[in-house]
Amino acid sequence: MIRTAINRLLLGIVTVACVYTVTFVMVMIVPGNPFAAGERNMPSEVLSALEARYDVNNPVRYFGQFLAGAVRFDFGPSFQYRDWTCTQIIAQSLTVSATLGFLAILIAVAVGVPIGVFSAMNRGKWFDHAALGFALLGVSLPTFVTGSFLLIVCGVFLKWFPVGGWGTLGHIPLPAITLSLPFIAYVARLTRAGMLDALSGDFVRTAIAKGAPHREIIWKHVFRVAFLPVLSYIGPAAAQAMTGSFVVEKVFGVPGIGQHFVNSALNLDRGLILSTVLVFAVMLVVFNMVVDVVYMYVDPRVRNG
Amino acid sequence: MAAILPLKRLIQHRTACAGMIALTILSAAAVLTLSLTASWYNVQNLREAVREAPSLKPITDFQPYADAFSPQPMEGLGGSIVQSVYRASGWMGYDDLGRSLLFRTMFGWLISMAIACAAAGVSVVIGTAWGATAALFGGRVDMVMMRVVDVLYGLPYVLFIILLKVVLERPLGDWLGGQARLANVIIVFVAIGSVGWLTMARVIRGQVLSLRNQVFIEAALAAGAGRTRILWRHLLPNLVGPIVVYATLVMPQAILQESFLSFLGIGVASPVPSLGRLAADGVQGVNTVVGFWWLLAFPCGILLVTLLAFNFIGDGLRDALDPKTRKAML
Repeated sequence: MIRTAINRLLLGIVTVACVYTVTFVMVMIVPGNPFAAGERNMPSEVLSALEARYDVNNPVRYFGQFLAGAVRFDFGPSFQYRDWTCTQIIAQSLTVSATLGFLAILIAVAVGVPIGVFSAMNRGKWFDHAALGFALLGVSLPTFVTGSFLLIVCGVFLKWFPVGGWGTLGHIPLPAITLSLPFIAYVARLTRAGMLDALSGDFVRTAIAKGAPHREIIWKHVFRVAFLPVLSYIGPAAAQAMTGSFVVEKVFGVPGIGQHFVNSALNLDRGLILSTVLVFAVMLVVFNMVVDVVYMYVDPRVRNG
Repeated sequence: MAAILPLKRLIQHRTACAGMIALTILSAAAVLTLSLTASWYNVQNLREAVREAPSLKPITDFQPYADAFSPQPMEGLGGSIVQSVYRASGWMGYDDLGRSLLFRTMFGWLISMAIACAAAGVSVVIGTAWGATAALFGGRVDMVMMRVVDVLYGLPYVLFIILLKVVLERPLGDWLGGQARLANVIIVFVAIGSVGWLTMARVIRGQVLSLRNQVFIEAALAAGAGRTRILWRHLLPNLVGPIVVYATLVMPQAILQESFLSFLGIGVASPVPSLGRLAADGVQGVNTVVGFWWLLAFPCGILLVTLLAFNFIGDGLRDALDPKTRKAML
């Protein structure tokens, strides 16, 4: 078991290193840099000083330097936000996004799992169709539409929550719900499919034959098997949700990290591009490993090899 | 016979049926009016119809322009039939340039559909080939190929698309002889298609791995069948189910991704419409100050129906093709 864990860890590190290298190459292929002559009128001395500070002209050295810094959580200066280091930007925005993302995944599981279980139990009946249709609404409209809709209805007309911004508890629910909508749909579907799959297992027949009560069969026997695919979906989903969403942040004015993924690429802010990519890749790998560990506790087949 | 049973079960699946009917109606409407919408989606009526709310009343002062920047009245549009068609187009309202939202939505639906089909095509071809190869060769090849998929999963998608656009769009446009619009659409196709195949590759690999050890493959091997024959005659027919299901599920995702790109302003470029672009534009027109609700409501309504239809069909197909779900006991 320890060997598997070490293998996993090594593989994860290799993956992150590959992601970093590929991104680095992509960033270097893109023509131009933020200080390129002609875009701004600056004296050549200033330009060369800037280029020296940001190591624009020596990709190989920059590659090593950035990586060496990143290992110590020092992501260097941002090209775009001159008074900030990438570490400060990420530390501030990641806490916001991680809070929202964590809540969104909680909501997705709390809503999606019951929907999936009950629609599997009522397969083909109206409840099945209605519940699945409701869950599917979340993947049938772009987030900017559902987000704006929630904002206008709950924020502007009903005045339940403040209209956008960040800082108080009231600012959290609307973006968290918006962010959770697509995940609810996937969780509901996976749960339903897993339940249907597990319901046809022989152990269900045995349990029925032994006279176990239905509720116990569903929750103790079937659900435990059906939850496994959901569990392996939650890993990457959590990484995705917790690294923010550009749309949700834009609609609700939340200072999260999702905007930096987009803006850094649009601004060709090399330092910030590489930092955000590294953060995402590391989170993806870590969450997948966490899921693997949880899997071992939940699934005896994996635990005992 | 084997192919008929799933079909029958698909037809009995009520929501999948509703989805198929909705898609048939929409595509019939869009394809039949294509000649009209393709030439009219960008025709502007600046004098009267700017942000005109949906209504059935005819527009009295009909003065369409082909281009907002050179306000020359369009020639040869005096025909009364054409005029009445344009007037009848008002029931979805007009956008900020006085373009018929009905025509734009119909044409945009086709563009979105093309994007969805391209993404599905890419993920079927590349995803299946990638996943099947990895599973069949196994060992080190499998390991490397799946690591590539992992790395691509780890790359933030937005960054990838932005860089793709920045690097390739202009050279591609020059190479195509200055057709910037075509280059833009191709880049959007490639960008969206290049992400969809990852999940497909994983699914197919899993399927092939489990099929590989089954008795009928062993039997085929014992009967002297070669690798290629086993792949084409024994494995692929068993893979059709998951491939079809995942292709139907990739399509709505592709449409949503395009809408996200449009929201960022890097999707299908103006003036070409797509459902996502219309929705993204529509969101700008609805807030506390202005309420051009039709610019949001109609494109989003069509988008919602289309995506629900795809999802229902995908779910129905999965239920119909999966032999296990038949005998659930509770």
